[in-house]
Amino acid sequence: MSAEDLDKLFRDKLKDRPVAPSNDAWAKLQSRMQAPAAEETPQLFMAPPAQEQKEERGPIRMWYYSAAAAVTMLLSVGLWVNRDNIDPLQPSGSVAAVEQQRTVTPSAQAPATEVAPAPSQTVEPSFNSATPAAPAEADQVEALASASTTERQQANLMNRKATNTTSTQTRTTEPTTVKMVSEPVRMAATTPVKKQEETKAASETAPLEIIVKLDEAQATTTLASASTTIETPPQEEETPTGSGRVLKGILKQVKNLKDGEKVNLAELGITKHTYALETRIGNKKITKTIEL
Amino acid sequence: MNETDLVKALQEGDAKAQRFLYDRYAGPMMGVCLRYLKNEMDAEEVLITGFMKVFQNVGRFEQKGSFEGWVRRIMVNEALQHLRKQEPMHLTIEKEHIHLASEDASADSDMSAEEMMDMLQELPAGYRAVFNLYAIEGYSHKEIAEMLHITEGTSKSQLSKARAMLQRMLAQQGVMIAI
Repeated sequence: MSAEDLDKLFRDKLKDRPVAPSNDAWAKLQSRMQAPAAEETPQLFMAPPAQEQKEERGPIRMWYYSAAAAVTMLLSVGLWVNRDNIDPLQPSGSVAAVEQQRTVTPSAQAPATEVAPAPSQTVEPSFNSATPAAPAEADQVEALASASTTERQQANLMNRKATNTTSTQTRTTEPTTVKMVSEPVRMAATTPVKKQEETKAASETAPLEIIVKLDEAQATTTLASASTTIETPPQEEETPTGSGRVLKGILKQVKNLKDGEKVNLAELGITKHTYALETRIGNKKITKTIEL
Repeated sequence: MNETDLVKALQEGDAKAQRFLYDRYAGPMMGVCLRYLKNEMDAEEVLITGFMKVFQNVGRFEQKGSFEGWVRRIMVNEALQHLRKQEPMHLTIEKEHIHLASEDASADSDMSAEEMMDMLQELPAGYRAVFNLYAIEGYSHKEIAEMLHITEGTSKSQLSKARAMLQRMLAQQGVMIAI
């Protein structure tokens, strides 16, 4: 038997001899066909980068979220603080103006008419000199504050409605009698301030010193200090109702005053509309508030 | 359904065509796989992976030559790959000591395919692979050498040794039948 015969024999018998595969072979084939379609091909290309992205995205997202959370926290806290300071203070600005007008009133008792004609134009250049005079005026305001809180509220309402200084003056003139009574007391109590006034008065002799103040902050702060330190508790209770939110900001500024730091009007959110002018001619003290 | 239509349907991923192809070729291809792999489980494994490759790569099939031949080639390649995984071919190849078949061993044409298959299975994997590829599949020694990563000379010697073994087996069977 030749090799070729042998080959042919096997080829003929075995080449196309079918052998039935097991019955579940097709099922296996199908299940494997679906598996690679879903898994194998994506694993080659899509899956590895996707996993990397997921791994990277996890921490990155966490950072973003935490950063966003921190920002929102800061924003919310800042807004909250600023709300305490800013929002309610716009009415408080008028409050300050009112107080100044009360400061006007004591001076008005002697020369009520003189207050109005006080020259506001010349006042402006002497801005710098205003700051040293601040405490003196503050004391006056304290005295005023001691006068009555009801008046303040009235004045607040009036100021909100109308900003004219003249009209407020007329209103405030009414309680002057009470203030006059209280003012001397304050003067006695706060002797250092008086000294300051005296020194200023001495300095005023040669040049006519006109004190210009951005009164809102200092006036209000003095008001607050007066109410806390001097006034009776019921009055304190009243003030929060009228300008409750304002109190926080005011107290803050009071703290600044105590600590010797600069009183920041901007923090109080007070727009610099009202100026208090104060000048002394001899023993006469003339104060005037100007709203710009 | 003729072959070109079947191929087109397969290229479109038609599930029915896949089933049709399987029904038509699963049996013959199982036979092919079994010629290379003794173990029926291995053969079926190769059959399944072979069909998967057919379905996945049918797009590459150009309508040249027979589709069945293409499928068969895939199956053979899969079988060889599996065989190579199982046992390094060159090691088994040289193992057996060959006795040349006796001259008078006659191949009876009435010998059943099953008996011949059993004989083929008796061969070591390396001999069997070369004999399958050369005698039954019709590959050249050059092709076989490339497919099995052996030299052409090795392929030739493997073939002759495989033939000798088969002849000896045939002769023994003839003797047995004679007895």
